[in-house]
Amino acid sequence: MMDLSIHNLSKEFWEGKHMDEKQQLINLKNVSMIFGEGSQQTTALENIDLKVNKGEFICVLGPSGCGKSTLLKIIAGYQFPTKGEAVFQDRPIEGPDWHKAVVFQSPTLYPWLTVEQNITFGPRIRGVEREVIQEKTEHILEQIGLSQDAGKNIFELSGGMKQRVALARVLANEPELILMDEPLGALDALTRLNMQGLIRNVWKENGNTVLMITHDVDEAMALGTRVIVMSKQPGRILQEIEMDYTYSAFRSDTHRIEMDKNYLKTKDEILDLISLD
Amino acid sequence: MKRQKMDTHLERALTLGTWVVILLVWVAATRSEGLSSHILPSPQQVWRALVQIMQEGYNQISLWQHLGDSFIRLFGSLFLAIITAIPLGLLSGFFPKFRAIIDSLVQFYRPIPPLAYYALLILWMGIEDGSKITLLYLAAFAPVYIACVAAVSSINRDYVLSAQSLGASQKDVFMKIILPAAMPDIFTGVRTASGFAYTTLVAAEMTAATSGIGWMVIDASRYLKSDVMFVGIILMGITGLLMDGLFILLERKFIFWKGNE
Repeated sequence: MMDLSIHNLSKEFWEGKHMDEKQQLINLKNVSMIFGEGSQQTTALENIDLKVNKGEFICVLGPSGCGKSTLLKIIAGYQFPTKGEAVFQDRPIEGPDWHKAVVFQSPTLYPWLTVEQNITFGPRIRGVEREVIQEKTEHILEQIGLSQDAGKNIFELSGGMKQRVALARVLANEPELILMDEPLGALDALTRLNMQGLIRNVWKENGNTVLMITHDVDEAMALGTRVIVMSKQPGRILQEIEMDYTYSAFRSDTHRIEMDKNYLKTKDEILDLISLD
Repeated sequence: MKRQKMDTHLERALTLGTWVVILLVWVAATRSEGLSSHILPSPQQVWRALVQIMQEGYNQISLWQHLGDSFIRLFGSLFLAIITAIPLGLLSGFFPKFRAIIDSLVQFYRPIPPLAYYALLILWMGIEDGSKITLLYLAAFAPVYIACVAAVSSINRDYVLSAQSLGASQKDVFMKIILPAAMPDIFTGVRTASGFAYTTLVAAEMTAATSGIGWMVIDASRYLKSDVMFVGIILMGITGLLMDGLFILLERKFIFWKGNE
């Protein structure tokens, strides 16, 4: 296992803007998760140590069944580890709350609400002032490019639009952390690429912290500041690789990342790691 | 697309045709000699009976009064069933301990034909509306309750989880997620309940009443007024259809997302 010392994000980008960049958000200490009993027992996660700092974009990569989703559920507070400790902002995770937002694989938008009502759901139940919500919502709708569709019903939207609304709904709450469980898995390649760009821009503009699960190596490398490679059952962290490809998208006119020579090499390494077991 | 349209036209024509054939057979049967109009009145007789009842009422009570009495019993009991069965059903689905208390009671009385305990209700509450409304209430309660319990268990778990991650409390989850998410199933339950309550109503009025559309039919049978019986039965069929149509209309309006998810 690699050393998990705190590191700096791309310096030229964050300098001065985020003084608290080293602030630790998540700390998983020796976390294991065992399901079932006796002969049916399966170990989903084994001895996971993971620290996530404010402003990072973590991509968790691994084959299906490697416990990636379990990892996310533990951080979200939906499940509790059978061993070890999960800490969020220096306090043990005791359940879901609005500081830890979740974007699901299939968008769980509420069909009885319009696009706008879905987006404002969080702030409304938290009792945020109406003017504040309105202002914020307009901004977010613009950010995700759905200003024209605020009044639409959910079933009128395409798959990509739904996932954008799901992202917007989470952003409206201004959470400390955004957890994403293969949010682009069900989208076609082109929509997927556009969504990656959108997620990257949102992350940059809002200064969010993101932990995203994916099984797509290119996606992980295009978005993550740190890629975590996990093994198949039992899920263990095989390697953590820091990246800065995502920043190159901000420099390029196409808003796509620049792939250098090392890109393919790193990709190969990751693929080797995953197919190892 | 064109083919599909042709098919629906054909289906409509078939439905309409069926009714025309029934009407023709009816006319032909009553034209033939030897069939007493007490056994089978002709369509014209039934029509005349309808016009007469609409103008003069039946047994000094107007037709609207009969229908009105029936509907007050029906909708009164449906209303009571809805406002009690929905919260109890949702709570039962949500809290297993709550279900442990309510569920066995409902499951026990549900398969009993309502008329079996109607005699008891009359004994306790008399022959007036009280016993009828209670009877229909019990008949309508079970389908709504069961639909609610089932609805909660079939709710997408991720709806609840995502709501919690957006800051929803237990109460928010119940009122703003569980309730609307269960609405389609609840509506189906209410529709089933209304049908069940309606058949029970007619049966109850036939057993013991002094007014109502069911009573009209049973009273007419005592005097062999077959035409009046026909009027009553046809009216029951039409009102049943109208009621169901009304529910479908309400469903389309309030549960607009159903079938579009």
